[in-house]
Amino acid sequence: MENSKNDQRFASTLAHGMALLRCFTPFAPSLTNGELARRSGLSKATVCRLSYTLELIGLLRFDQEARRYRLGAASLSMAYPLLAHLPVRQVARPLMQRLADRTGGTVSLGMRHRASVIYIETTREHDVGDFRPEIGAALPLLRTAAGRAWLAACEVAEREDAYAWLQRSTGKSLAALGAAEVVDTAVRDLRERGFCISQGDFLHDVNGLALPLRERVRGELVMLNCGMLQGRMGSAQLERDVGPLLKDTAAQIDQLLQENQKQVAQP
Amino acid sequence: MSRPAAKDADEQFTVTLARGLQILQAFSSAKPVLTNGELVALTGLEKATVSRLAFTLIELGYLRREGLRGGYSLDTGVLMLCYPLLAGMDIRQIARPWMRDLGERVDGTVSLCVRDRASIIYLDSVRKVDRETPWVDIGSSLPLVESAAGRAWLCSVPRAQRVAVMNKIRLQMPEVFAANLKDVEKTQSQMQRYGFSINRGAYDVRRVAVAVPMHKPLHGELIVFSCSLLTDEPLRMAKAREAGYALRAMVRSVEAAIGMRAIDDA
Repeated sequence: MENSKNDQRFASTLAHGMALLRCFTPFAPSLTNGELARRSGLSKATVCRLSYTLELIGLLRFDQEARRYRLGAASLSMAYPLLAHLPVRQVARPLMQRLADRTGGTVSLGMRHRASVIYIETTREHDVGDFRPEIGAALPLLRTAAGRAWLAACEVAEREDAYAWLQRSTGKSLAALGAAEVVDTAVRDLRERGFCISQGDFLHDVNGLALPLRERVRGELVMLNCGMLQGRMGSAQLERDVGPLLKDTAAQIDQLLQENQKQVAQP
Repeated sequence: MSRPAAKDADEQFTVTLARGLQILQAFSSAKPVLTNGELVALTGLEKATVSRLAFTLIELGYLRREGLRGGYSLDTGVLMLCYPLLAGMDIRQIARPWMRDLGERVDGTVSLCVRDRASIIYLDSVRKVDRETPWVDIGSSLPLVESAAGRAWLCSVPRAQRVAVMNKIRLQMPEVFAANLKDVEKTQSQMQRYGFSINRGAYDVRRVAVAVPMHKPLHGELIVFSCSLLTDEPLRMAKAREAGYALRAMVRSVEAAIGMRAIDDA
């Protein structure tokens, strides 16, 4: 990031405005200008100008009653062109819901973005501590089942790109991150069991299983993931009972995607 | 909390930020890929400005290059911007089973909407996956004055807010305003009589849509539920009313589930 910030083409005012939007979290859904200044490290005068502009555009909303800023719904309409072109979400949703109903887990679809997996759809049934599975949630690549499934299935060039982002975002070497071991295990798990596993590696009380769909979307891999509270089901039972269901669900989604593409090809 | 006074509003407006967002907002579901030239045409910005802002947005993870002809499309990072909003809206998770159930019963699309300036935006939608059903989804939007949900919103917020929003629409979109003024007024009496608004489908005129707002705002925002279905002419109004009453009952159940007390529902 440092290199690009020094690039003359980099518009830092735009970056600062976008950084303000990233200050909000599900647990800090409303913030004052003072809080935004503290969280972003920008001066209060700068924050005031940026938040005012964001409010005019609809990305922030001033809650008169609480006298605080909240995110505005314009962020959703801004993301709509992307969401609308991920038809896998709509196709998969009923199948994901059925899997969630049968297993009691949270079923999600994710795509890789830099050093993260971003959820593009989820059947959120329960919240786990500080994490709420929801569209747009960013999960660490190395520590989640979905991230490992991506690492196990991606092309070499894609993995190199992810490695570069991992180093850039963590400031650590790949060796220090243990990336090679994680990828070796993921490749073996995907080959031998048909899915990758996280045993409390991301959230200490959640196990996850994930596998990549065969069909790419926007040229990217899509991962189907099932997260399960450990208190609800142990990891052995998860792999034995939920694993085959997850694979079936992925196969059904792939089949529907292929049929959809055929329909589009021959209207 | 200090907010800029109106008189120094111009100085407070950050042009570079607004222009960058203009670029992100230039994309649509009909035009998900845009070239530099198309962005110039859509935003009215200069070519060099577009290049510089696009460069920054790519660095930040909101834009990506697409194809070999210098196209751009939205990058997955824009979804991260929505995350706190969606994750903070428990109402979606709570309402979804009811929405699914109602959708199946009336064979229609059930949606949950909020207002954004002069539009109504879908926060969630439960629909059949087939070719007949319009593809509404999280983030899709409709003009307030044209949609059942938007009109229900307009007729349910305090008078001062309605007047302010309608004035803005009159100034910004005079034709849309004039074409819909009568129908918005009609919605007032529908709301009083039935507790829901009735409309022709905004995406497909063969459809009919009904909408019910919640009793009071949630986090300062009035949420509206809507339901649209395909009907044949002779049964249109009867079917619409049936769906409207069912939707109204559903909204009351959702309100009870989140502990929102009804003020005037006997």
